[in-house]
Formats: sequence, structure tokens, C-alpha cells
Amino acid sequence: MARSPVLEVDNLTKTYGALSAVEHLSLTLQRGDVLGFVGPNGAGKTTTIKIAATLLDATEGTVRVCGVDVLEDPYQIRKMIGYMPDFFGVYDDLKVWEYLDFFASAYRLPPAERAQASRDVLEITDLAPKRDSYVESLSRGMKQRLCLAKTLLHNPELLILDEPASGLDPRARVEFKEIIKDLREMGKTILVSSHILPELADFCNKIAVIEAGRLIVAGPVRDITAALQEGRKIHIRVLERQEEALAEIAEMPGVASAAAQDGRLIVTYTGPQDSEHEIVKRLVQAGFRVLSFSPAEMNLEDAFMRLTKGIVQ
Amino acid sequence: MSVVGSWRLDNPIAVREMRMRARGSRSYLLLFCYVLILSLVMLLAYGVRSQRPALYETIQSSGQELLAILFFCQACLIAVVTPGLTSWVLTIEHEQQTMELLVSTLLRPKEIVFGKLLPAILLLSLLLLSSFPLSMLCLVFGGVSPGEVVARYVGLYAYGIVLAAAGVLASSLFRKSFLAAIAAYLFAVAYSAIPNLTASLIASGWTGWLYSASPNPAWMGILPGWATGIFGPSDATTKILGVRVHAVVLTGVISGLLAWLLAAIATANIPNFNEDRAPRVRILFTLLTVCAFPALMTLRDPRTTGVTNGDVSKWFILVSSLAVLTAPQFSIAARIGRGSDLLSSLSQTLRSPKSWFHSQCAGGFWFSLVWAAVMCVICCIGATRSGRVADNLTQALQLTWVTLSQAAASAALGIMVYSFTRRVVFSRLVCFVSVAIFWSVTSSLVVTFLSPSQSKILAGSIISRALPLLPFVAWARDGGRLSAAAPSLSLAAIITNLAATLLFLFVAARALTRSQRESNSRGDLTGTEEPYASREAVVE
Ligand SMILES: Nc1ncnc2c1ncn2[C@@H]1O[C@H](COP(=O)(O)OP(=O)(O)OP(=O)(O)O)[C@@H](O)[C@H]1O
Ligand SMILES: [Mg+2]
Repeated sequence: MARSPVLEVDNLTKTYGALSAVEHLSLTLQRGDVLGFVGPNGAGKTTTIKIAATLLDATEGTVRVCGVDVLEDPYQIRKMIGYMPDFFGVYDDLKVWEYLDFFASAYRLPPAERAQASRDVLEITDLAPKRDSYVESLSRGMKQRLCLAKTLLHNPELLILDEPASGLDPRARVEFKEIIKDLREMGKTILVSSHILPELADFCNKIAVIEAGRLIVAGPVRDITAALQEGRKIHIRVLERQEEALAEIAEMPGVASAAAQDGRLIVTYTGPQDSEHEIVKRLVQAGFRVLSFSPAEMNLEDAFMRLTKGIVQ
Repeated sequence: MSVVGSWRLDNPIAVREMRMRARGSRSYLLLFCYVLILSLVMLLAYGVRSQRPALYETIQSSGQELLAILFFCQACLIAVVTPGLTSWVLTIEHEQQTMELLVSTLLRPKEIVFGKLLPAILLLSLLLLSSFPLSMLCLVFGGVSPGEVVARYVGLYAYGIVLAAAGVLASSLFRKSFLAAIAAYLFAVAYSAIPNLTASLIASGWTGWLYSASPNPAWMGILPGWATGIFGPSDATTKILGVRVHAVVLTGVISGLLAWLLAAIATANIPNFNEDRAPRVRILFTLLTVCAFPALMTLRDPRTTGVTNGDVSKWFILVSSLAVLTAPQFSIAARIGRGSDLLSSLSQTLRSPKSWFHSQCAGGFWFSLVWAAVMCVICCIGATRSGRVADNLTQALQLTWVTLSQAAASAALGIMVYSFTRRVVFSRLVCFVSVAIFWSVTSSLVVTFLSPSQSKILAGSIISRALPLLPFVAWARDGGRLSAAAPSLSLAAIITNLAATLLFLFVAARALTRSQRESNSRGDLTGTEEPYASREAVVE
């Protein structure tokens, strides 16, 4: 079997009346990819995800999971994906293991395998001690993990998680990230959406930024962050002759501007990241005594704001 | 797998539902009440029987009479209980936001519907089984054959299954349990009444039934006598294609097909769970109501020619009563946040309990008034078509205002009841009961004072006419004529009703302000909307 991508979104468009929620969106996830799907409110993340999860019909374009079109055989798709919606409730009068048992049977796991499957997913999501608690007694974060556990029951190839960390406190977020990292280690392909780019950057290998239904950038995390860092700031301190150093730097290729501030030189550099060191080299060669050279802390938040600002009306 | 699989008894949803039902206390309470009510009725019937000759002339033996009463009573209980068993089963998945999870599993729509239906049918079976000792008791009194008992059980079971399937269908059409419940109960009424009503309308010359004073079989026919054969022999046979078929077999087959059809429509609705069909359904029902009215007006007593006073007033009253009785429902609908909030955009700008009260309640309030007004206009048009135009118009207009004010008062009463309680289901019940009582009392009073033959109606005792519509039926029987003193009395009625409206609204506003202040001091201002929805989900 030729390796078809695990998820292939091709030229997807979804319109609600006059409003187009998603426009000509294309994405590809290879086996083992963890794609961070980022965008502000109303960008069209949930819409895309629901179409991929066979819960919504596309207006145009195709979505394939492991080579199967979602329109063709929704039930085969559902076997291959684990979908966690952005908003969901739980059944109140059930215990955790009963909840999982219900979904295990709904995913047609043979009765003999159900207990083991629920034990496994409880282990993965750190809920094992809560096996006999009532679902309604769980905290928000635990409910979220329980829902994730439920999506893992039938051992799907592709996980589609719609804002899994929304509404969690910082600690729970970290725990949730750890779980996703574990799943990545297990070789799952994951599509995870979020409003917040930095949150995704440390466990995704790909990022797609979407706004108003259109894809803005997509690609490996490193490229995206580099692209986002365009025009990043570098702080340099020299022992003496500050003015001369400033003039020297301003002449260099890739330097957009340079200014002195609080005894430091602040350089806006637009050149490639791996030629930053050229600045130091040149300064040293010119006889300046460089005390410190520090690229400013990369701020993805700012970059994201910059990226998505122009399109919002 | 696919065909057999969807009807398997280890359906995951059925297992889960039964687990959850077994944890709650409702099923046990239901079973207890069911048996209790039946036993009490039987005890009473036996007591009456021993002192008086048969209630129905057609029934000869005491065993037969007791059996008829038992099954009539059971049928009424089933009609009340069954829609409540199933009308929420799919809407609750929306309300607790689990529908997406459910639909994204490998369960087919067929299995989902069957899994939801099965626990209800099992509970229904349990209820019917629990009455078994009582029907055996009837056998002891003699005059009843075991076959007849079985036939009645089959009829009743078939009846219950159709209602259960209709409930599931209703819950697949709506997103809110209470809308689905209204639809399911409407279906139950129609399904129980239409066959009987049609039969007795034909028998009694179409409108004759409205003029008769005693509760005649047509009125009882609103209750599910049809399926149980209480108004006819349950061992009747029919010839179909030359083969003699027992009536109960026919009932069973037809009911089975009907239930299957209803479930199939529900199944077809499931894949489109994202769509909210309620607006469309709402429009459809409103249109049907509006269309039904002129259609009903054409039904007349064949002995008279032209539209009579009685015709106009009769239909006017029936339909506007319906408006009044549904008014509190719409107040609740608006309260939960889905109603057509006519004033909401206006008052949302003012963040005070008062404006919140307006935006939440006004939708239902205005709806019922508008509806009553539309009906009144149609009535007036009808009135001009009949003989003495001027006379009829005055009467119709008078009644219009009385009824409009009564609709306002009923809606306000609904709002008031609602403002005092946080449990949707509970308040709905209280609403219905209090509005029915209010409506009965006020309309009894109106009829008593406005009708020329007051003494006759008073003699008939107001309490015995406590059912909402009956006073007006009696009034229509008098030819719908108002007494000479009517205009001033109508005015008095209108003023009283408006005063009641203001009082109810005032009390409601006070209650809401207080509860708002309480929640303010507790610091949970934001959660006004959501807790209601989730609470309903829990209670239902
Ligand atoms: N059923 C619907 N009918 C009409 N418009 C809709 C519907 N569902 C979504 N939309 C619109 O589609 C657009 C995309 O919505 P979507 O839910 O996909 O955004 P999102 O990226 O998931 O946002 P969020 O971060 O808030 O979850 C929005 O403008 C929304 O208003
Ligand atoms: Mg979303």
C-alpha cells in the first residue's frame, strides 16, 4: 500500500449562507505529524475539524483520512479517527469505567477487550485512580482528560483535538501537554487546535495558522517561528565607542535599523537567523570590544498578533 | 450484522440508559404510583359497583365493568406517562452536549433510536405487567374471558409503543426537551382523540356532541379508549380479503407499522443533528393551527342552515382557550432563552433585573397575545358571515376582549410561577396546574354571569366543570347568547383580568429582582442562562 497521508485536506471550502467559514484550505499530515492548528475566534478551526470528523459536510473540496474520502464512508473514517470536540458534556449518572465501557462498545470493541482498553487509556491520561468515581464528581481538567481517554479507546490512527486545553489552569495545561507529548511518542498523528501559538510550539512539529477561513502560513515549526521572527531585535553592548559601532552596524546587510538606548545598541535584524553571528564577527574585526550579544527573547505571542491582525475587519 | 446488529439487546445505548435509569429514583416512583392509582381506582369502582347498577348500559357483568375501568384508567396513565418516557431521550443529548460524541461513534442512527426506545418499552412492559394481578381480579368476578384480557393488553401495549416511538420522533425534531415534550403530548392527544372523535362526530351529527351536557363518549374519546376497545367490544372481528381477523390483531399490526414508521423518521433525522429544525416545526404548527381554524368552522350541525351564533362563539372559545392554555409554555420558552424575544434587543441595553425580566418573559407574553388576537380576528370574520351581523359582531368583540385579557393574565401567571422556581420541570407542572385552575375558575365565572340561563349552569356545579374547556361548552350549548347585562360584566371581567395580569407581573418582577440580588451577593451574575439548561437536563 502506498503511504497516503494520514490527513489530507484539499481546497476545502465551507459556507454558511453568505459567510464563508473556511476558504480553499489545504493541509497535509504525514504519519507521526503533530499539527498545531492556530487561529483567533471564528477563524474556522472547528468547522474544518468537524468536516474532517464526518460531522459536517463540506461545501467544496475534499478531506481524506488515510486515503479515504470522508464523504465516501463516514463509518470507516470514524474507526480511524479519535475526535474530541471543543465543547462537550458528560453523562452524569455514570462511573468513569462505565463511561469508557459505553464508548468502547459504541466503537464496537469486542466485550473481552473493553476492560483492558479502558484500563490502558486511563493509564495514559493519568486517571487510573478515578476509575470508580462518578463522572460528575471529576474536575474540569479531569473531564477533559476523560474525554481524551474516550477518543483513544479504539486506538485511532489520527487524533483530532479541538482546543483540548481550553478552560484549564496552567498546571493542567502542562499536564495535558505532557499527555499529548506521550501520544506523539506513541506514534500517533495528531491535529490539535488552539488560539494560542506558543502553547503549541513546544510539542508540535508543524503549525498552520488560519484566519477568517484562510490559511496564512503552514509548515514545520522551525520555519514558521523563523518567519515569525522576521525583524527580530538584537541587543548588543560594547565597552566604548558606541556611536561608531552604531554606524558600523547600520551599514551591514539585513539590518533594518539600529539605535542606542540605555547604553545598549538595539538592532532590528531581518536577515536569516544563521547569519546573525556575522554582526559580532564584523564588530570584533573592526576592533570593538563586544561585552554582550543577545537576540531578544522570541515572542511568539507578538508575532502571532502581528500575523493575524491585518485580516480581521 | 447490520440488520440483526441494530436490533440486538446489548445495544450500548440501551445498556447505558438502563444503568442510568436504575440509578435514578424515577422509575421506582413511577411504578409505585402506577400500581397505587390503579389499585385505588379499582377499590373505588368496586365500592360504587356494589351500591349502584352498571355505569354503562352496554356492560353486563361486574367483572367486565371492572376490567373496562381498569383498562381505561391504565390507558389514561400510559398516555400521560409514555411521552414523558421518551420525548427527552435525544434532546437531552443536545442539552448536555453529548450528541456530537454519540454521533461520532460507530453507532448507526438505527441503533441510537432503538437503544433509546428499548429501555422505555421495557419500562412500559413493567408497568403493564404490574397491573396483571388486578386484571386477574376482574376475571374472578366473572363475565370476562382470558382471551379478552389478553386482547386488551395487546391493544394497550401497541398503544404505548406507538406513543413511545412518537416521543423519540419528537425528540429527534427538536433541540429542547420541553418543545419535544409538547409535540409528543400533542401527538398523544391527537392519536387518542382523532379516531374516537371522528367516529362519534359521525354518529352524533358532527356538532351535536358539543351541545350535550353530560360527558358523552366523544369527550371521553379524548382519552385513549380507541386502542383499548373500551367503547366497543374488544373481541370484535373484521373481514379482510375474505379472512376473519381479530380486531386486536389488526390493532397490533397497524400500531407496529406506525411505530416502525415513526422510529424510521427519527432515524432519518439523526444524521442531520446539527440542524435545528425547531423554527421550521414551529412555523409549520402555527400555520396548521391557523389553517385548521377555518376548516373547523365549516363543521356544523346539519340541522341548521347558515352559520349560527353558537357556531361562531363555540369555535372562537375553543381556539382562544387553547391559546390561553399554551401561553405559559411560551413564557417558559422565552425564559429559557429560545423564545422570540421581541423586546430583548431593546432592553438588553439596560442591565437591570427589570430589563432582563422583559427580555426573558416578553417573548412568550406577546406571542400568546398575538395568537389570541389573530384567532379573534378570524372569529370576527366568521361572525360577519352569519345571520345577524351586528349582533354577532358585538358579541364576538366583547368576548375578544375578555379572552385577550384572560390570555394576558394566564401568561402573566405562567411568568410568575416561573419566577419563583429554578427547576424547569417542576415549574412547568405548577404552571399548567395553576393556569388550568385559573382558567377554569375565571371562565366558569364569566359563563355564569354572562349567560342568560345562569341557574342551569350553577346547578351543574362549577366544580364538576373544573376541566378548562367545559364551562364554555355548556355556554355554547345555550346558543352562545350573552345576557342583557353582558357589556358591563364583560368590562368588569376585562378589568379584573388586567388587574390580575399586573399583579402577577409585579410579583414576578419582585421575585426576579430578589433572586438577582441574591445571586449578585453570591457573585455568580454570569451564570443565569446556563444553569437552567443544565438543571433541566439533570431533572429530566
Ligand atoms: N452553524 C453555523 N451557522 C452559521 N455560521 C456558522 C456556523 N458554525 C460556524 N459558523 C461561522 O463560521 C465561522 C468559523 O467558525 P468556527 O467555529 O469554525 O471558528 P473557530 O476557529 O473554531 O473559532 P473558536 O476559536 O471561537 O472556536 C464563524 O464566523 C462562525 O460564526
Ligand atoms: Mg472552535
